Amino acid sequence: MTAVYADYAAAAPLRPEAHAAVLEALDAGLGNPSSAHDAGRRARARLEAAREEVAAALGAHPLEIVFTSGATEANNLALAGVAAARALPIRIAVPATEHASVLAPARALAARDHVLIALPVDATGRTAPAAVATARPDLVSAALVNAETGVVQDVAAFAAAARAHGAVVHVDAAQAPAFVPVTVAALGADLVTLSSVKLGGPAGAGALWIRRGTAVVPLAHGGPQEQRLRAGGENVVAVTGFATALALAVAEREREVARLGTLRTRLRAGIAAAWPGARFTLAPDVPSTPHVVSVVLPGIVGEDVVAALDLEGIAASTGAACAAGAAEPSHVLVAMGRTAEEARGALRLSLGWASTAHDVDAIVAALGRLRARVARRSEEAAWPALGS
Amino acid sequence: MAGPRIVVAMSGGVDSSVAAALLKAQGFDVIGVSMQLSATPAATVRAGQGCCSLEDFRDARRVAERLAIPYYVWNLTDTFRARVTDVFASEYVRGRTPNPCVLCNRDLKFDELRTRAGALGAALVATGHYARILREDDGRFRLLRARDERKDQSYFLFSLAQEELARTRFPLGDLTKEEVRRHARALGLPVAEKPESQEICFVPDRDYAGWVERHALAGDLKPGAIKDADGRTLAVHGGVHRFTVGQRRRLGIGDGVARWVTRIDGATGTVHVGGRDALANRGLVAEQVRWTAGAPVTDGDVRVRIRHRHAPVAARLRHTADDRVEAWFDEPATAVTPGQAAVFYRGEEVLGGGWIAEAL
Repeated sequence: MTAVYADYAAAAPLRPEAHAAVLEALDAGLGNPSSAHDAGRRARARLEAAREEVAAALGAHPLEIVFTSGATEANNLALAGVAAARALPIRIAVPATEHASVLAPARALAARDHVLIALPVDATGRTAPAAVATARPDLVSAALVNAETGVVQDVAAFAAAARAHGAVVHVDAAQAPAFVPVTVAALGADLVTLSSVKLGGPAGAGALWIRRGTAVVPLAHGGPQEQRLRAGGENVVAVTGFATALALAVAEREREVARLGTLRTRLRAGIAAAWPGARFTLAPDVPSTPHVVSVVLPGIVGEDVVAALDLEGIAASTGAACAAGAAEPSHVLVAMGRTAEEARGALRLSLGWASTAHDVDAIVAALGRLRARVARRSEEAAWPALGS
Repeated sequence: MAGPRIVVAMSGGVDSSVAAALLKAQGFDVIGVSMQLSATPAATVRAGQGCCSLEDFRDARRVAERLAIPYYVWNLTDTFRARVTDVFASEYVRGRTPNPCVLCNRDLKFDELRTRAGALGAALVATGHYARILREDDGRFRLLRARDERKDQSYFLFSLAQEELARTRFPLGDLTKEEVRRHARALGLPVAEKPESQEICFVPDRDYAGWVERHALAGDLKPGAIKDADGRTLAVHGGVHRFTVGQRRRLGIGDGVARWVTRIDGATGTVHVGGRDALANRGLVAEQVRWTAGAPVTDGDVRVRIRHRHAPVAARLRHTADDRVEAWFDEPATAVTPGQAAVFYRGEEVLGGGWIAEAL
């Protein structure tokens, strides 16, 4: 049983409004949106209403929105779809700190004659716009908000540098809409990825915004759905909840940024006091979203912190996991110049719409108890006292 | 209120699954952990043949869910490489025949359990090994062979120190394999009929020489001579890693005479062969000896086991240096193999053991 949930960057709890929208849609007797009967028309109406809601949140046109199964599919469609639309191999530039759903398709494209350029990042995890210009890319993909650290890339400057060279710009905004404005005109992007589950919508929905006129080849073929860019019956129920959650997140953004900023300050101060030597991945003045605190706790690997917190009913993360569920050394921290040991040691706490000061205090208290155990363990040749 | 917290190493096999189930039934506050040892992509692992496959993690996770215990996976791929597979390769290159399962138990399983259980608030650890730990009235702990002689795994555990024995539980020590399977069936565990894994987990095809060739530095694999007892060169070989003491096949001599590898000289790369009688050894030198019993024991009716499943032979032990022991067999033993563990027993107790440095 989970008493405190602090893993919003992996999956936010379903918001009650999204829950209600999903249930209502599930029970509405909807047909296939492509069908020419009432049940189909009603499904189509909901689908298009959701599309309009998502488009409005981005300042985009509804027909520029392609619903997907989530951010991973949207990222794959952006990279593979743009590359496939070109007759010749292209140069793809990607910061080394990107999510695996961007890095892996980029590597797969590099294995098929395209060229992958890993853009360097500084110690805060951001890429200088000048590095983009040097790379001379045809396609750039960068996250607006990094999922492991919360650092915010200056995507607008990034995009301007890329566009000056005629590059197509993809922005992975999966972690962003609740904290950073995702207005497509301001970003200067050609494609933008969104996620439902990171916002408190249901899993299984996401979207790729594609600027009109951008050449993209679909991943899946076999139907005219989603402006011919994604064949397959639409997940009307999930996108209904997604649109609801996105609209809420955007409407509450300013208030939530302030509220979560206060919680983050409290969390950082609490951890610093509870765990001497705790090293925060980002300094407080680095532009970042208020929902992520990434920290390395000396004396213990991130995997064990997550397990120890879980045993106290607190859900947290190391940031990255492999198929078996084991923590992987964070490629994000390695790219930021951290040692392999630190990359294995990071704990990621991520907050969101339902987080409270009580949650923060519970996390800090649990870390304090863990720290006492770890300190005692190192004094007593690795073992706690028998019977404890 | 739950009893003492205990961390159980779960491989996804029937043994460790039943171990976890028994501890849970005894009232322990059980936490299951699996150790991810190999980063080999799952596609190249043959299903069910290695302890590192996704299928095994899935099984362990399902068992943990069935038992309603927390379950975690520890990523130990770096440690496994440094302490087990790299050592495995370098030992073969030195002309020895390593036992990676002992290394894995000593430097990985118990070491990680010991150092990490505390962070999870557990003072106790457990595994599904077939062995027993007995606490004497004087507070000393004795490591004993399993009740089921055919399943006994005490050979792999000789390096456990008293402090570790005090913290360790082996719930299967008094059970037979059939009883363990019966328990698993009765509990409805999804792994009750799962086959045993016998091979070295990271070499599922058993081609150890091929594995070493893929993982050792190219310069480490040097050709050498195969010589008979008179020092005559019978053939040239591609590297000592292709040989083990007692080996008869694939010597590459091809004159139809039956010969066995009697000794491997890693320094010169020479493989010595001879007749079957030349495999008989009068004793061995063990190095890096550890005393499970807590202190050196060399007197009494001591027997030495020179490989897993080997019937222990009676021997006299002579402590020659801090961590070196000579074992002199009452009757010659066949094919003492440097790199394997020599484990000393008295009755059913493991006294200690070390690594075989040379045959006598």
